[in-house]
Amino acid sequence: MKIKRYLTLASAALGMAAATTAQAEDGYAAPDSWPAPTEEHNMGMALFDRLEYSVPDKGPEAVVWDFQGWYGGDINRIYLKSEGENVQGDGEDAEFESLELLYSRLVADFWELQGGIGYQGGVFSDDHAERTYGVVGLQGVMPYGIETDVALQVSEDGDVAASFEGEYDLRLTQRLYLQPRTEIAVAASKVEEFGVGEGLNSVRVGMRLGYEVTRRFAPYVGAYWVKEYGDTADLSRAGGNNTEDTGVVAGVRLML
Amino acid sequence: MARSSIISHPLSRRQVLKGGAALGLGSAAAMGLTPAWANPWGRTNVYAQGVEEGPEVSLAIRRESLPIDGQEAQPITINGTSPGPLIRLKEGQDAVLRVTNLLDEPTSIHWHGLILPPEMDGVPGVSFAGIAPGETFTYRFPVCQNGTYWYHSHSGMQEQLGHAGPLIIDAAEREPIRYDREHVLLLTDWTFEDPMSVFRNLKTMEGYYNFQERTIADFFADVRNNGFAQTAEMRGMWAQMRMSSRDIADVTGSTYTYLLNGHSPQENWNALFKAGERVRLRVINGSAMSYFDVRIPGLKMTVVAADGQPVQPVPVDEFRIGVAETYDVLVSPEDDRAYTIFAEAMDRSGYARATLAPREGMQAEIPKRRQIADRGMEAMGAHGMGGMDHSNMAGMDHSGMSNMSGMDHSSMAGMDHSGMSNMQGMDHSTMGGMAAEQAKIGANGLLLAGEAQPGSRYDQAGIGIDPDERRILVYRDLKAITPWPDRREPGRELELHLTGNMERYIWSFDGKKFSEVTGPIHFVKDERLRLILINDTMMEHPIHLHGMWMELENGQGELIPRKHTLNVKPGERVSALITADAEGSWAFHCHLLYHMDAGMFRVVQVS
Repeated sequence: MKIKRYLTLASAALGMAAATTAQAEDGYAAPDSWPAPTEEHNMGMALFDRLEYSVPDKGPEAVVWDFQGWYGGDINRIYLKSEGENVQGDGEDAEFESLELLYSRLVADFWELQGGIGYQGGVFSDDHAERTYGVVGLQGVMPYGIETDVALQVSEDGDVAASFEGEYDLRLTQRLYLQPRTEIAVAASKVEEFGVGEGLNSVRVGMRLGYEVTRRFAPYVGAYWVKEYGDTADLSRAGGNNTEDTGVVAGVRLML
Repeated sequence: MARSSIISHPLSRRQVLKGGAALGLGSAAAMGLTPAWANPWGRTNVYAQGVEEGPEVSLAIRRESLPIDGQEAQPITINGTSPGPLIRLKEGQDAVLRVTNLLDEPTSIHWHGLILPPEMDGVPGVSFAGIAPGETFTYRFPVCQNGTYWYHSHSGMQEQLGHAGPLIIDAAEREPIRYDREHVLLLTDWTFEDPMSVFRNLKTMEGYYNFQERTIADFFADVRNNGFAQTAEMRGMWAQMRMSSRDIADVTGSTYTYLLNGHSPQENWNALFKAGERVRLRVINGSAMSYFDVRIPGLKMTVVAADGQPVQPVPVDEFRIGVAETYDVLVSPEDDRAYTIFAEAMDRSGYARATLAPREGMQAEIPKRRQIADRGMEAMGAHGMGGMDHSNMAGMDHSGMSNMSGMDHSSMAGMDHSGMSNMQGMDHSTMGGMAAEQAKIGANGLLLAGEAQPGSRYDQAGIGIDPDERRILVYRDLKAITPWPDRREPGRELELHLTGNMERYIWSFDGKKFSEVTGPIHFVKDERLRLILINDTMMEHPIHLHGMWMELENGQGELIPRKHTLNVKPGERVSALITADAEGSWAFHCHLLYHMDAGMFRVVQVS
């Protein structure tokens, strides 16, 4: 039912995006009935940057996704982003670590300023703790080609957290690429329910080796290392979970 | 080659036709879906079928199933062929061209390079409303020029679907070019993808079609050749800019099949000749996105016209043809053998090919393709590396120039010097002799007509072509036969930057897409102005002005050539003189189809 709420919001936002891409005043003498000599096109894209099966050394195996899709013009876009996992064999539903609906605006050649709302919790059920949050972020490409996504989240209870994701594609051949990747999560306050501690929460470093069968379809294999710190690690330990793990993954990058 | 041997008493047209007819007897076979002008015997009286002779021509536009390179395809056809028929007009005629739209969407035809009334120019939204499905639009205009031109749709992305063809105008008086036979060579780039998908791919993923990116292997190769420090510095600069030095073409041979007269390299279209004949090749680049380097190994080509306008003969081994440009070259094959006409895509991802031969079915060796080149410092010039910001440079030149009135020319060097002071660390050799050449300034403080702009590189053919390997045509070589009629100095300068955001695939003039500009570019009726184009991007842009000639100021003084399409190289600053004698609204745009659609389009209003 939460999902439904988001869909309503999404359709409203899409309408907004369409309205903002109307033709500007051309300003030369042409009858109104004539078409514009060039057309602006709204476009859309959907990308599973990671859709993978993860086999950790210590923890349970999981299906993991990292998705983003957008629709809009050159400057204004609506994004739908989601990361989450379905832990195998725990009898529970898949969980959105994040499901975000964002308005995005190009603010510099390589940077988009994004803001919107997010949801964390079960995908279809109440198996997982739920919360909603507001999010402001900056997505783009840093010098040297590092794809970056930084975001600040403020939950409905006023809890503040931030995340950084960076990845880089190193081309080995025209189709084979090596992709180092890192994720860092920090929080301003402890939220026990979600296993979030104050300060640095976790660092995850991974490396994937992918092969672009086409530009839209690239299977890959990879490995990662993840470590939790401070309060977050204490919370994990209290729950009987590991605070440091390594794992291997196999998956696809899929652009629709 | 001596000029007199070409520019002398030409054969009469009757003689040419008789010769052609005799040669062409009995080879009417295999016309099929091939445009008739792509007949291997070239222009003859026998094979008039498929050539639409003026002054009255009817054209039907359809979407049809035709094989291209042996594969099922859905091109747009004109009178049943794609590319369309050769339209042949004569200077002095009143042309009547009836275009019937049998598509299920609006269409149009723009007569590229023709000087005509604005309402006949064929740009929907600028010249007219377009041609609705089922409707016939009649273009009527006096034909007031001659030479090699072409026509194409100006609606949506129809050009990419083969909606184009050659347009040849025979001279009213004897041309200063003598030849025995002629062939039209129309280069196009065909994709089996939907053009809208191509555009979407360009918009959503940078480098989508580039399968010649730098890899780790290139890095190590460069380290071996140039040492680690230099390689690291160069790669660091490109990486810092988040750009690819291999970005030579946005759409490449990974999706394109390059066609010559509608034929793939495998299909090997044949152009026939008799040994000893002088053959005129009318080369037209009707591609949506592809620049080509054209050569015929074993034959010297003599360039005799550019963009339909005669130029003083230039013997070359190879020439680069930008999108929408045309070049006429003469070749004189003496031997009874086949020659390969080789048109290699600028990014080396593929080629178009035909064979010039004395008999059908022959072929010659296909040259080895070159490796893609990396863009270097000259392309970076536009991107503010180490103070090499071209927008500053332009500003400097401009203000510097306008203060020059009444000043002693000898102080020019001083000005250049002070201007250069904020450009420390820049490689001066790439600046096209900005400080080295003394600019010639007229009484109004502007550079004299015909002088090359500082920052121009007219003596360079461009990326990936080696002038030491063979003689290559450069813009500096183009020299009109006689001065063009308007000898006035420019009354003012109009400066436009070619701009873009490669990451987002946004292309624009002065940083504004067409949808973002608030009004047209204004030319005052009958003024003489200088248009300065400064390329701030890392791509070549073929800039096309409708309705008026651009006299390219390539340093040839009063013999500067005139063109309808100017190739502006990355980081380059070029200029053209324009006589604004064509009242009305005209399109002005980059002729790379997807650049135009991404916003690199303006309207010029002359009033």
